[in-house]
Amino acid sequence: MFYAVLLALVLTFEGMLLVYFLTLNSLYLLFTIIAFFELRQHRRRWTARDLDVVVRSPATPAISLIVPAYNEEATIGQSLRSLLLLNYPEYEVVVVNDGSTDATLRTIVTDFDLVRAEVRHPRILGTEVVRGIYRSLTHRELVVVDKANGGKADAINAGVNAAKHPLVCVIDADSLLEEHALTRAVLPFIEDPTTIAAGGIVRIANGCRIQDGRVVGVGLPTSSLACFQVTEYLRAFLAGRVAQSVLGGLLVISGAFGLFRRDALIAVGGFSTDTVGEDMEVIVRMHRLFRERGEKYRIVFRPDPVCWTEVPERLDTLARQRNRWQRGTLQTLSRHRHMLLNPRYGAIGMCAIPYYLIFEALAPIVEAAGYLVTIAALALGWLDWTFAELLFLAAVAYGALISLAAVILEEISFRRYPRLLDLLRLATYGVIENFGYRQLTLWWRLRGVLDFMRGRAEWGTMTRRGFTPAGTSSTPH
Amino acid sequence: MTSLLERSRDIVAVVLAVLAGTLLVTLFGLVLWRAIDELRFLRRQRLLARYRPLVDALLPPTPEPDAMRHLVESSRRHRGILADLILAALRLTTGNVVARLHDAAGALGLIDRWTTSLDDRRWWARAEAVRALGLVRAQSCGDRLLRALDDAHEEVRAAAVDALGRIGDPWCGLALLTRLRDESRHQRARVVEAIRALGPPMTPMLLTHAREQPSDTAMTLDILGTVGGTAAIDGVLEWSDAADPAVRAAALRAIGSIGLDDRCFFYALRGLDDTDPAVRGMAARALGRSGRQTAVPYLAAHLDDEWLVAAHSATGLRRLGRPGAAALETRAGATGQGADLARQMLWELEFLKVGA
Repeated sequence: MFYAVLLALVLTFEGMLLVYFLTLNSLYLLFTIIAFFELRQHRRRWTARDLDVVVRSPATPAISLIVPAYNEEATIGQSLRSLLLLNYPEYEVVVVNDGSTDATLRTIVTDFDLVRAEVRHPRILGTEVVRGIYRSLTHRELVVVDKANGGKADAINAGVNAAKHPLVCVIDADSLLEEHALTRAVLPFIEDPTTIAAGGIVRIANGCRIQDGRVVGVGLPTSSLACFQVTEYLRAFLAGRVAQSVLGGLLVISGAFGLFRRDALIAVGGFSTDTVGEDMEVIVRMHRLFRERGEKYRIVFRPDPVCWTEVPERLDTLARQRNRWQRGTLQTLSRHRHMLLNPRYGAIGMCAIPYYLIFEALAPIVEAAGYLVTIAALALGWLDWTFAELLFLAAVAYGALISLAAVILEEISFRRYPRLLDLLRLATYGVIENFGYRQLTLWWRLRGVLDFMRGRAEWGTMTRRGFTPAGTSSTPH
Repeated sequence: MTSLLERSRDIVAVVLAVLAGTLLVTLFGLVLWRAIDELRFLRRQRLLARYRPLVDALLPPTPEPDAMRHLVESSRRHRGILADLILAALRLTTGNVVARLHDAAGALGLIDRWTTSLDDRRWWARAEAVRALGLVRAQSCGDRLLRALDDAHEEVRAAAVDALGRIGDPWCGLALLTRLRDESRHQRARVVEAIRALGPPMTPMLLTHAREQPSDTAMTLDILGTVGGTAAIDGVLEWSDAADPAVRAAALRAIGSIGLDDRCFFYALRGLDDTDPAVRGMAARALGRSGRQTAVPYLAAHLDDEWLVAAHSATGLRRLGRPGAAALETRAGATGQGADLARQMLWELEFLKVGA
């Protein structure tokens, strides 16, 4: 009797697992198809001449770029030099030194001719103590806020307080924006004034040639680990985010590059300091608040404002990052759980949050349990090989094809990797990431789930190499 | 059950096979496309290697007598390659070689080709043509290049500024000065860079422009600060008493950048008593850059002035050696803005010492 019940349970679970993988990959295929049409339409809609008009227009809204910096002495100088050369009519760069223990502040002060000034801006969002404001005598658009350490979200909030323009762009201190990134990122705000947040694509700078804080030659990294991440990022941003944006269900704007209306950010209380997934949490909170208020709003993703960032090339660093991303997703979904399947929140409550819960937050548990139960069932002779083949096709082969589709989408729409060899390598990595790398990330994410259940809240450290010349869930945040 | 599983597996396998087939065919097409591109690239590299010696033969001070003839006799189909080689050489050379390469471009019909491309409907073709005409210093195309300053596309306008800056004739300088008020900040920056590249010969033109266009005076004085040299000082000092504080500040900024003689030092000291903080700030900056230690007490007296003045005074004191540092040390023990700034400057001096 017990044996029969157990067998029935295993078979039911395996059946559900099959449906799970088929649904997940079919959804991603659907995202890829939607993204293909959207990218085509987007490229037709905004020509270089239109961008030129935006750059020259006095009506283009001014932007405050907020750069939270914690122990970034290796890259901060180069990043700032590149930010000060962006092609945008009016913007300021607000660097927030979040109590760095290295020479970050000293580097900025001496490199950019900064002098201490009086703190005059109001403290709208609560933050740790601001120790001082520094203004540059040579770059009028550069402001540095020096504050006690309070984490990335706290630093961004301090930057929002100090910002003087109606739009704020949050970027990581180690990220590099392309020359026209702000012009492209601001387009959704010009197209539709109800836009409250817009995200741009994050691309991987490992393997690219960088000169004076700019990416001057795009190439694939030599490290296999970084190459796997390139295909992951392409799948997540080009297929996932584009389609989710079209469907009105975007729940994440990457912390590495996002543009927000300052008043909207203040209205929701700024970035949350008690989560490790503050970039996702603030977007979900924006959806929640604006839906509750019944205000019309739009949160979108654009694939062409490009931000380049360095990704981990060491397993331990990548493990910490994926662990943190997983905890961030779970914290956010747990905090806003009452939005789940709540019709009051429209497509967000009924589709986007359930999707994130089932296919992002719970994916490691489902997938790991699936692998274990399948292996055990096969060993015990409870499952026949036909089913195992079917499961392999639905989970692994289908997944590999989706990755390949994302690489083809990149090649058709942007073709940023110029060499034939790069395309072939990307396609290969897209296929083989399903055999080993995917299972590795699954393990890290599973540990993230356990850490979330244990209440672990710290970020973990990310070691940067710094950009040299010549040089999370499965969804990147 | 087994037959159901087998049927499901077969269906999934067929669907995935169709999907894989579609993706692989698309990928194959893309790879083919890329391969053709790479073959084109390799062919171009081969042609460049073949024709490079012909262009290089024009570069020595006394070129081979037949160099030009060999170049002109080359295949007409490969004129594009020769154009690229000539333009690459022009980016690196000056003097007589430029004239020789200009003649070669003319003999090959390249100047005519570029001039025709100025009317091309593709903006990138127009931009390339403008850049090429600038590199080859095609003075005969001056009118066309001036018209390119009003092109509908920013890249073409940017290329026109660059081209006029390279040609470097007085009429180019004048044309560029009229563009100092361009709507685009980046175009203005390019114009300023082009004028700077023209260097001290622009001084009289800039002074005339500053007098004739009061709305451009402050910006023109800024440019004079970087290209002017000591010959510009007399002219710049004309504006040290201007009614507009922005112009007075720009004049002091310019003399601060050029360097202070005795007379300028006096004007800068007088500027410290101006009613406008921007003017006082620029006066403090000029004194700080003068290297004259007699400025120390004057700057120290402004450490509690408005922030801009105090900041420039503090950085000035930091630059003025031991007496400046002593003045900062005196203030550092107190409280308030002046003390804060003094402490920062001492912190920076310490850092610079460690760095040295």
